[in-house]
Amino acid sequence: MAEQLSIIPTNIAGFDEIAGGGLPRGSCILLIVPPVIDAHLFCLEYIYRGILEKEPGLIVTMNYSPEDLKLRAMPYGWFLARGEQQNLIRWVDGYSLNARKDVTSTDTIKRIGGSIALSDLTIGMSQAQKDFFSMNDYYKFVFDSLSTLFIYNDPNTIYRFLRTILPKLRDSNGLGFFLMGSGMHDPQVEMTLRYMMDGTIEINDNLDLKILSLPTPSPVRAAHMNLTKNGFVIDPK
Amino acid sequence: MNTYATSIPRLDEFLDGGLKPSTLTVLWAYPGIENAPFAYQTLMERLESGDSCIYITQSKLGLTVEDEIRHYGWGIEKYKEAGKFFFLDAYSGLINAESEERFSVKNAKDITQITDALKNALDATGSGHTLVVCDSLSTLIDHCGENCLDELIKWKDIFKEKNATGFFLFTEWPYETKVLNKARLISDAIIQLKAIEEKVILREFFIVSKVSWNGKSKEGVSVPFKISVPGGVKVYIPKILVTGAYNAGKSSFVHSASTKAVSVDRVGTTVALDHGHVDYSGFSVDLFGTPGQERFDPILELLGGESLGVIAVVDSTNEQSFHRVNDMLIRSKSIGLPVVIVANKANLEGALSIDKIREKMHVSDAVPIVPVTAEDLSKVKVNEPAKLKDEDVHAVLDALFSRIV
Repeated sequence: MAEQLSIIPTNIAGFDEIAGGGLPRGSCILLIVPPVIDAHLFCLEYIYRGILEKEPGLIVTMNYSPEDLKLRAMPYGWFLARGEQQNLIRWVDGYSLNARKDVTSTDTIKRIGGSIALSDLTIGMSQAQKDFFSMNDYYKFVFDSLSTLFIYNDPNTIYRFLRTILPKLRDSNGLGFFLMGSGMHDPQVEMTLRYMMDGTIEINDNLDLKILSLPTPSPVRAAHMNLTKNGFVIDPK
Repeated sequence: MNTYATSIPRLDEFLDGGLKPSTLTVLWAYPGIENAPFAYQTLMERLESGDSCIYITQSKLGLTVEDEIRHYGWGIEKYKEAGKFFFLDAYSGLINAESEERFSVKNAKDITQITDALKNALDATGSGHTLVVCDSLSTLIDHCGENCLDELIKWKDIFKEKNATGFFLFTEWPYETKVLNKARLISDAIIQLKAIEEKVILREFFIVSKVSWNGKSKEGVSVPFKISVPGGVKVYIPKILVTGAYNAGKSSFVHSASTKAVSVDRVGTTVALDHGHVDYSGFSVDLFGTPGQERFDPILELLGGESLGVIAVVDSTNEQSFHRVNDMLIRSKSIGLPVVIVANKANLEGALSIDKIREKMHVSDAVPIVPVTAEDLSKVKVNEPAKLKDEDVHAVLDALFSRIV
């Protein structure tokens, strides 16, 4: 079964055991997280563990600058700059220019205007997909976060955007997470997003993780997350 | 008819000279394709020609747009200082920020406020022509609703009154069909930016699908392009095959036409391929030259794959080279592609005339045959590519580009 779906391990301690071995190529998972949790760290570890396996990674960041995220990753030993040096990381930065930081785009960082610049966001993601196409059969991605898009755009605008980019991510063998803040949105929005994605994982304030749905079968549906000095450790319940 | 050139290669030809005054032209892009560089390049052309420009931004700060324009190697600072360029900020209001621009709207979800601000901005540009760039029509629809399309009909009256022309960006999100149809209806001209996509976007091209002022539909004429940094929009032809008999002058042509070129050769004879990159007349082209000796024929099909056109080089003094070309076109599976025949060594003794070459090769009048000569015969060396006359090389490229695009 695992071979048929071509499952790629995340290599985050304990996660693959509860996720049926990892994530299939071309899968988009909704990660619902309370705003108080530093979910971006989970995302950064996911990308970093991929870099160690020479897997390209795309990070879409709407709430922090890439420079800030690289600093936040360092205490855990996740040196993302190494991935940039190996040409394995692409960033789409929807934060810095809106925050009026004096930065420009580079070979690895595409700066876009902000959460309303959905065309530029799609272009940045497409360019990364094109770069990765010649490197590897698949790539990992994180999108942090959908909630920021919903603050500045009408839900129908976001749905149109997702109806466009989700097939592109699947077709190009991307696998990764879309972050969304829990309790921030209308239940109808959450249900619509769950319907559009290939799976949903929910994390609560106590770092308890619940698998609501995943493309791969798993006997375990709940776990607890611990953030150690080396990263996350997921203990099945 | 008075028109305003865009400077986008080939585009003005399809628009019958450029943008028509008081009209609305839409850059209609498939999601994932950059359309903003088309607008930046056009606004730079208009500013350099003495026009004014108003840039309506609804998805990013004016500073971000300025950075992007600079990224492509252009600058609008002097035009801002001279009062020839203004941003109309319809973005800051959407993110609850104070605008730093002279013209802005508080509630960017109210299209009538944008209309009023546009009138004020156009009053400030004086009596000359003004290009109004809207970035973007899709964001207007997203934030102001589809009824904003009715308001845009009024904008065309304003353009007429204020001597302005509209150039709008649009991303084709999966809107309802009635919205897309209405957007098409109010557009006087539509430039579609499309992609060849297989898992990822592989190639991009534009099609001018509507030009209301000449009543002609241009559907089907596609122009491949790429965005160069710096440089902007260039027509992009990823592969042109240069083929022909041994010693006809293929390497000479590749080296003379290219800004940079490399040959895999042995004692002056190409044994694998010539490769050159051409940057000419708004075109960005890669040339792939084949070896001419028959012992290398097995690799011709490999080299010919995915070519968009052929430059067939013959030695005007050697009739045998004419027949060999037809054989090589078949072997490289290039029959049917746009082709230009280069009649090299046209000034040497014994060279046949163009009419004679055409007769001997049995090619129709539709296939251009261009005579080509070395720049300086005294400098031609054995086993080295000769430098061909620039005007001859350019005549070949012009003839081929017009057949491909």
